[in-house]
Amino acid sequence: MAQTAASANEPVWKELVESGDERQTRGRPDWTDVVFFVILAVGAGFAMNRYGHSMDAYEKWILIGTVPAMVWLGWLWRPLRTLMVASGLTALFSIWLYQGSLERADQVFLLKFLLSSQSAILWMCMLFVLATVCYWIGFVSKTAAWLGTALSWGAVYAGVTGLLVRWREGHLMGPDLGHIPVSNLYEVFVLFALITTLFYLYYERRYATRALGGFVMLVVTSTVVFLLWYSFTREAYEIQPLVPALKSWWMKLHVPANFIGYGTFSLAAMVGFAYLVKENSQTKSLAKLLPLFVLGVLLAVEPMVFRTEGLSATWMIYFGIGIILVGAILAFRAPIAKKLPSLEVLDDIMYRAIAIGFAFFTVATILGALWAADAWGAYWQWDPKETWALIVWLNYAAWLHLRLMKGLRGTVAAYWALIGLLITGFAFLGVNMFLSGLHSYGAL
Amino acid sequence: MTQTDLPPSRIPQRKLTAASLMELLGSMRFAVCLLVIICIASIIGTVLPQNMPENTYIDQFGPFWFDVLKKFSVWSIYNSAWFLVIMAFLVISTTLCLIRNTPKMLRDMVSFREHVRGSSLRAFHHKVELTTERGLASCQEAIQKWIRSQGYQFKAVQQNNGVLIAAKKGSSNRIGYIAAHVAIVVVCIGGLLDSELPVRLQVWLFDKKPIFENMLIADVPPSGRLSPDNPSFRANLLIPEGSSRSNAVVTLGEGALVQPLPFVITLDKFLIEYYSTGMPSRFASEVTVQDPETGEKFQKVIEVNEPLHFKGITVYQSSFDDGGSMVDLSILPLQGKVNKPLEVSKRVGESVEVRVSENDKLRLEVTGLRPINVEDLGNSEPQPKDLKEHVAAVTGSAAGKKNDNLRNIGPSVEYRLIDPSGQAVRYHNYMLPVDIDGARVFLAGVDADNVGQFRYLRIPADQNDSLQEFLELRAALAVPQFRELAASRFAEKNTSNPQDREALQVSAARALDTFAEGGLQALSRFLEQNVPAEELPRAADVVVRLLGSTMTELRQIAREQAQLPEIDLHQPQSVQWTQMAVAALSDLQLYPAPVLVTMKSFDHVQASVFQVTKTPGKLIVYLGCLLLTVGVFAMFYVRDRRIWVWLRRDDNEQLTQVLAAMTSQKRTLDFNREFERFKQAMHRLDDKEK
Repeated sequence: MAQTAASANEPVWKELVESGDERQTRGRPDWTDVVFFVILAVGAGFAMNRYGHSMDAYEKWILIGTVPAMVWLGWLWRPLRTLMVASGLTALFSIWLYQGSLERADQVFLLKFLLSSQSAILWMCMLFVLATVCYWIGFVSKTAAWLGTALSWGAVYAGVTGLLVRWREGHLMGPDLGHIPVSNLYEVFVLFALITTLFYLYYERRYATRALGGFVMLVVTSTVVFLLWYSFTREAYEIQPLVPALKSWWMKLHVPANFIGYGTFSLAAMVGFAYLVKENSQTKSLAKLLPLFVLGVLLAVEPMVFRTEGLSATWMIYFGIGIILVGAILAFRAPIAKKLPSLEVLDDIMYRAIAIGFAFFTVATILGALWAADAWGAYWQWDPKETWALIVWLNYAAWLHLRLMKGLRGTVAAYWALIGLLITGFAFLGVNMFLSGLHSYGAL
Repeated sequence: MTQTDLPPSRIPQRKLTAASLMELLGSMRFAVCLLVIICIASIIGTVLPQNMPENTYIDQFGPFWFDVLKKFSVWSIYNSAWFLVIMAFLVISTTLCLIRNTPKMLRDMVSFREHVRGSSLRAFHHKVELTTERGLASCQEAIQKWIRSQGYQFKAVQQNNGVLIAAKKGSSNRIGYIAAHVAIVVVCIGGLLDSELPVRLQVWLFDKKPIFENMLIADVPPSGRLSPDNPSFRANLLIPEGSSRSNAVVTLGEGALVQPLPFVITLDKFLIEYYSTGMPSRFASEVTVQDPETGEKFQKVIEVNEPLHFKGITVYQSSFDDGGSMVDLSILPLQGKVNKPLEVSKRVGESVEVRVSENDKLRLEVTGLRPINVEDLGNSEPQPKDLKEHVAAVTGSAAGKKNDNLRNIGPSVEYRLIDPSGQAVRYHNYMLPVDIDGARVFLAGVDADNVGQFRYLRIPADQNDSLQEFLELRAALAVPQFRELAASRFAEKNTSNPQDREALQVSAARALDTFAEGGLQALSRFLEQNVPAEELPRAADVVVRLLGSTMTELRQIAREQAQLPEIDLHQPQSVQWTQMAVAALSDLQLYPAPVLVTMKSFDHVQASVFQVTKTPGKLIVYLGCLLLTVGVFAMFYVRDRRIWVWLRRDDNEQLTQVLAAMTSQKRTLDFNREFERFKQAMHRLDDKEK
């Protein structure tokens, strides 16, 4: 099916730009990369010199390794470098504004409303929601779609800055309290939103289409809703000191790798959803649309399912909006489908996202096992989180197997990717909620 | 299928069955089925808490389903025989798949497939066909140059009337497939070596018998001891401060086996450090390790994330426990007419018989000592806020508001009281009084319904910060004469009219008696029965004041009896004390024990719990992980491509015919794009001539 659709849309891939930015191909690193490298190296050297005493050998190696890794990422995709520079400078400015005293967060205007970690993260939340809205308006207006991209970048910039400042705020709270902000559910939710958006923005450039933004940003928006609910009702935004088991340099590797996996899997699922919308754009048969509707609603309510006590009004409204949105997308499937890229492109994005997610998820799980061997005395002990990670891994392994070996494409692959997100969502959230285990620091 | 149909072909049939069995075992269908079963089993394992005592499961499922489920050992699913068999099949299946495909893949990797028939290239989906006036040799040179520049390796062969150039790139992609699949086998085998299986095999082969009852390690017979050379085990080791151990305990189902260690480990000190928030920040054990063979001795700090590696064995900080702390307890009676405490000294974990009355005995078991308790004594109910405040609250720094209500409220003791029928109730009492709402109170916790949560009785502390006055008051309340006396003193003070006095005394005595019998609840029941509903609030008010004043008199009597110094009981502070005492006395009615046990002093001895493991499969698993990582990245990010170009010279027309095809394992959009570039390059052959 995909093949025939492809031949109808043959020239699509000609527009592709390999590097995903202005460059046609990546080519050799140029002088700007050298400058970037020097800046990062000087920064790392400064950190090593000034704070080296509170890092162990592994953390120092991670710091050293970060420099070439960031230069490489910046070379791979130029906008990322701009983001790193902008967020880094803003975070430094914010840290300078703090001048070592947390009270200044309430006194200095810029900190209070813009640059303290919580304010920045709230800006991120708002911009993400606006970006989603703009992307959807983008189906009728090019300007709105462009605005969606701009707002997404703004949100990512605010979020990265917020996390960096948060890192520093932890250290300002007490000499031994600070830690990298990837230690609890709140922090990783922010990370998840950022990674998902960045991957989306990469594919947006690479495949020159903004039509997927609305779909992918739905996941991010629902993350934002969850994040806000979590901050408002549970005061989850407060920095908590680490439990002894988490005090390890492994965290700096394990968690980000995992969230590259979760982020790309979500991206793939939403692209899968777009694929199915496009494929069913002409159908009138309810039997074909119903499963799509049900799956869409299920995904929308997934964060809500994980609430233990009764459902509040907020969540009922959220539920209602979820149903309306999924219904609306399906109702306007024909005009939406027209704007969506060809089925072949959607299929390709889905494959790429799952492949990269799978690779990183594999690495993350292995890193987790290595860490567990140090912390708990067993690299694998069938802890619920571990077991669910294995299930997620097997699920995508099977997807990739069938795709690479049996040439699975199209509808089944798309549905599978969508269901994959349900499984991933359970492994990410549900396990923390329903099953007790060693990963309990993520509990709600 | 009937036997009679197929007699002549019996032998080939059997061969076919063996072959098809191999085929089935090595097939992806079979592997996927196994994986699905593993997934489902794993899900069951995560939903059903594993390795709990059997009674928990009997309670949960009832005896019938318990027996059924036990057959499938669903509570230790990951160590059950059937799960291991499925894993073994997975290993076999993957191995067969590897044996079958690896040689093919390797051959394919090295081969340029230069024997492809030129004409068959027309059947390819991605092909270019063109003719050019350029000479064959020139074409070949140009194409080879381009192919090389694109990073391909190639081979040119003469084929009947032309040349075939076969080129390939990224063949190591195949190594990725092989590595990833070998990794699965390697990880499974390594994991198996580190599982419970080796210990179970020893039990089975060497006739080891797990111990089920409590026993000193020295008394364990040889059949309950594993060999010191045991290649693989996971054991627990509890060491109290100042003690040495050289044996760990391997638990196997409900039983246990002793695992001798090749070294002696002494716990010098166990440390817990705290953050300013009261949360523990560090658990660490300072240990001395001695090797009995060489006599070598060294010190080491074992902490979470920093285990000790010695002689192939790894020792992890796993948790901590009480190491037999000594506690000095007072057992205070909560019933009867006298207040005579009983003093005992016990270690945590020990128990003692307590005679609570003529015929009743209880067993007191000391279960825990907590020297530090950081509690949030603030009002934990969140105050409703409007949206603006909500938003304002979450902006700014993420540092969180300082909680000033967090305080260390000192040591506490936990114990159980077990009645002769075996029913046990847990208690948790703080040693020192705590400031709550401006008064000093003792907190006595009880988990009456066995729900795992303590409800606290608040008993006001007297001027000496002790329980004495309250206990004297309680004892006095139990004596009818004292109640009588209190009622008459109250009546005397409040009226001079003898008639009224009598009536007042009667009411006061009745109120006091009712209260002594059933607390405030009994009083309110009494009122409900005897007073019309509309007068109830007023009557209740009167009775409460009546009770308060009478209790003040009773308190005076109790103080006299105990020869306590005289104080003014009508001071606000004393009045508050009396009110709280009344509430506490009333709550005592619901307190399930006839005694209250308080701690006078203690000598804290901690114990550290270690996990001791020998994991021969660890390195194998890590090797497997490395292979897996390499394999996965090679599979996805090394792109294999093959190109064939078939050149023929048509001498009659002075033309070279070019037929080229390109293929890849993965037909992604990238491939399409690369093919497009290739096509353009091919067409350029022609351009240059013109």
